[in-house]
Amino acid sequence: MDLSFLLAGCGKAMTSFFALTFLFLFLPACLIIYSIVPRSWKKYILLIASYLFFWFVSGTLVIYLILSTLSVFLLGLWIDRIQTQMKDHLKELPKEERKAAKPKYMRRQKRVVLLGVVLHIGLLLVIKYSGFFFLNVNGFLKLCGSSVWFSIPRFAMPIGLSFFSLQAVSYIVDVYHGLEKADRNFLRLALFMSFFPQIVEGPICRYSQTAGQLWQVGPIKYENLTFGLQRLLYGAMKKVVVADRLNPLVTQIFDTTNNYDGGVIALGAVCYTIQLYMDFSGAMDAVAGIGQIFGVTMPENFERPFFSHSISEFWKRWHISLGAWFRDYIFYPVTSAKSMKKLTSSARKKLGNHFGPLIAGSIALFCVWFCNGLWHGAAWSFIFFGMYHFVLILTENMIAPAVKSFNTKLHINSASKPYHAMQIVRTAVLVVIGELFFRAGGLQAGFSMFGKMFTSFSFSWLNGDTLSSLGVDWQDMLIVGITIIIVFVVSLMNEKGIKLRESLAKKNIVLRWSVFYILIFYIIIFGAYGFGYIPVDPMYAQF
Amino acid sequence: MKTKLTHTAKALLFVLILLILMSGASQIVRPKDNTEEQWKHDSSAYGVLGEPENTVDVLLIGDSELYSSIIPLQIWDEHGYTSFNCGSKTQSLWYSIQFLLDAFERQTPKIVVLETNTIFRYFTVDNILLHSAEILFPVLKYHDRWKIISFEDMFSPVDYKHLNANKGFLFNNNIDPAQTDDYMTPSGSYKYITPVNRMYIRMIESFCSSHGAKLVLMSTPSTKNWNMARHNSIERFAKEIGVDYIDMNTMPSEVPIDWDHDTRDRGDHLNIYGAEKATAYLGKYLEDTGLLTDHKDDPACKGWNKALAAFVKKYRKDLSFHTRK
Repeated sequence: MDLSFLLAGCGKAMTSFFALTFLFLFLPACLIIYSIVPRSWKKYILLIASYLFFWFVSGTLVIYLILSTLSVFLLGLWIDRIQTQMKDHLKELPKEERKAAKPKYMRRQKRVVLLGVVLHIGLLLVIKYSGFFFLNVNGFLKLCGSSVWFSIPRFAMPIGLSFFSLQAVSYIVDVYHGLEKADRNFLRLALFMSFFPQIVEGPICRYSQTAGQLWQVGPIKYENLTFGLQRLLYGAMKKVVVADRLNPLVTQIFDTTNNYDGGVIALGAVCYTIQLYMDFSGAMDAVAGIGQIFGVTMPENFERPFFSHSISEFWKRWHISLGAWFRDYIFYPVTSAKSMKKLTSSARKKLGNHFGPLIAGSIALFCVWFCNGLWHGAAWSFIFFGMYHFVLILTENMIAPAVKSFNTKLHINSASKPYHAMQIVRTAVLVVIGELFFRAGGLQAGFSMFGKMFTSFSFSWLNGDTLSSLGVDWQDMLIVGITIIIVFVVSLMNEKGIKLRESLAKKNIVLRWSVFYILIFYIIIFGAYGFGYIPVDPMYAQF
Repeated sequence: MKTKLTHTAKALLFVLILLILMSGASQIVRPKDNTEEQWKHDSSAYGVLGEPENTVDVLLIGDSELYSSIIPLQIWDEHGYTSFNCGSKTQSLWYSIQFLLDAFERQTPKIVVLETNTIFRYFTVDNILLHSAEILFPVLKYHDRWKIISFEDMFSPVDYKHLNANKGFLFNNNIDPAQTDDYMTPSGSYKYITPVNRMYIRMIESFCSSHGAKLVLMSTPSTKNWNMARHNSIERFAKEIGVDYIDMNTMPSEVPIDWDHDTRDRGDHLNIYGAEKATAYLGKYLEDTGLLTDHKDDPACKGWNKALAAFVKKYRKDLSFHTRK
């Protein structure tokens, strides 16, 4: 039977959690089968569903995931074996000889970890960045007048590679550090690596966060089902009503930037930031919701980032799992390296307790932000995006004491609400500028757009004609505005620790169901889908 | 066990209420007329809904190739058959089915002509789901009408009265010559028709049969969209399902398209001059089927003569069919 149409058809449609194929075919089928099989089979159903999902999305490229999982499994066991050998050997040795014997085993473990890192990050580098690398090498050779050039390699990239590669590395490193025991159950590890809600856009989970939960899943609880569906709906509202509705405007402005003045470009940058947030955080709501239905608590990837008072705080609230990964596997290892410790102690003597540690910290921070920029894509604009945030965070760190003394001298109450509001607005403005460069098609375009905001700024876009030329009208903007207010109020309540879903669950059935129906109809009526709209793929899936 | 049953009952009740609400919402937001102002998508193609009941003999469905190639008023003029061109931009087969369902509610055509370019337009399972749901719940299709809907509009009855002056045909007299170097070069290859599209054509065929209509597959001339591989596939598939197939791309003597003059966009679509030739051939084919009768003197079709006169008056300088007699 020819099933190729399944791939051709579903392949595209299934990349979004809000695609009908996923919501009304794949997910219900999973839930039904999951519900009817005995408890001991449920985890296997999740595993089969995850691989089936990956196959629908990436076709034969599922081989990457299989090989990645297999290598991680074997490397974990290898490290575990060395650790066991070390323990056994050390036990046999007299106390005074133990210290001398240990490094040999540690070196062997390090080599295995290195192999794992080279395999996974190397694969990511080759598939995702070799084109960019050779493009720049060719450019450089041309600049030098050389006639030599390299053909640009192209590889088919499986969806989610940037996410599951980092998960793989985190597992190997955690086993090496003894934070995790190497998993002897291949299927459990495979489920941790492939769990279908997280495979497309993350979050980048640690083994300790999800592997155990996934392997112990039980029957679907009514409360989990309703809470999960509520979260899924909330995510759908963000994505379908706001992100997708803003898409024509953002695409128009960024694709034909020369036609617009600085005011329109500023509008585009703000709208793109909103679109990206609503798209990505909406998808994360869906991930959390689907996870909750199966009784799995997924790590949160967003914690109301636009309530941040500083850029460093923003990155603790935005794409949290990526930031945490860079912190744990790049920042800490770099700062705790022997050479860095030496540098810190000598710098501390010369520059004092504030600026001394900053030097080693800055080097680590540079590595983090260089990698962060590059992780988002193989282009100079992404590297610039990373460096932009590096400079902002470094500046924040450096001027913190000066700001403190400045506030004290001028009797500015840094705990006051207006001061906090100023910090929040300032952070948001800096974030929007960063996103402008992130979305612009290249560095030159980014600078040109940024420059226009100062040289030809106007509010001409308030004119209805300009809006309609951007593919939206005032009604679209009104709906976007109302939805942003809804999301803001919900976020504010969450920030204050009010648990909305729990509060709602205590109300009577009429009120509870009314809220459900209102949310469903809000999405049905005001969603940007169907005739006249082009479906928008999940934005972070492309990174 | 009791809790489980209660939860299942609650879930079913929730879904039932949701479906009822969606039906209600569909009645509220669906366009009450088939005009563009009322936001009936593809209002020219949906002009078929405004035609008096049971007056359309031939229903033409397809994409822009169709609405650029077939002039229903020329067929009326030359043969007295009433036809309607339900061609719409980038029409996919799921949408063709919707046209069939909608049109057959008011009309009983004897022949349905499907333009074959649409058979090679692929779509995702998502498209199928959405459009199947749209047929059940029009609120999903017309949800964007919240922007224009008035209180009065919400509760007024559906009354399709808009007539399309050209019967769905798009007039265009632009001339932009086409390159014909590789056009219809003989080949034994076959272009792949997806199983989903095959299934849809079979559904269309079975729908037509059950409603007493003959299905005909037709490929209108296009250097950009048509080739021998596509021709071979459609020819084989038409035999497989037992329907007639007309490929105007393989009939240079019967449909003598001058590619320097008869296309508006370098061979992608025909202009009015090419459309007249394609229409003349289709008219003869329809006559040869012997299934249709001349309605020129039928009082129920009085409006067609008026429509023809208005059409000829409007485009007189570019038309030639009306001067042949």
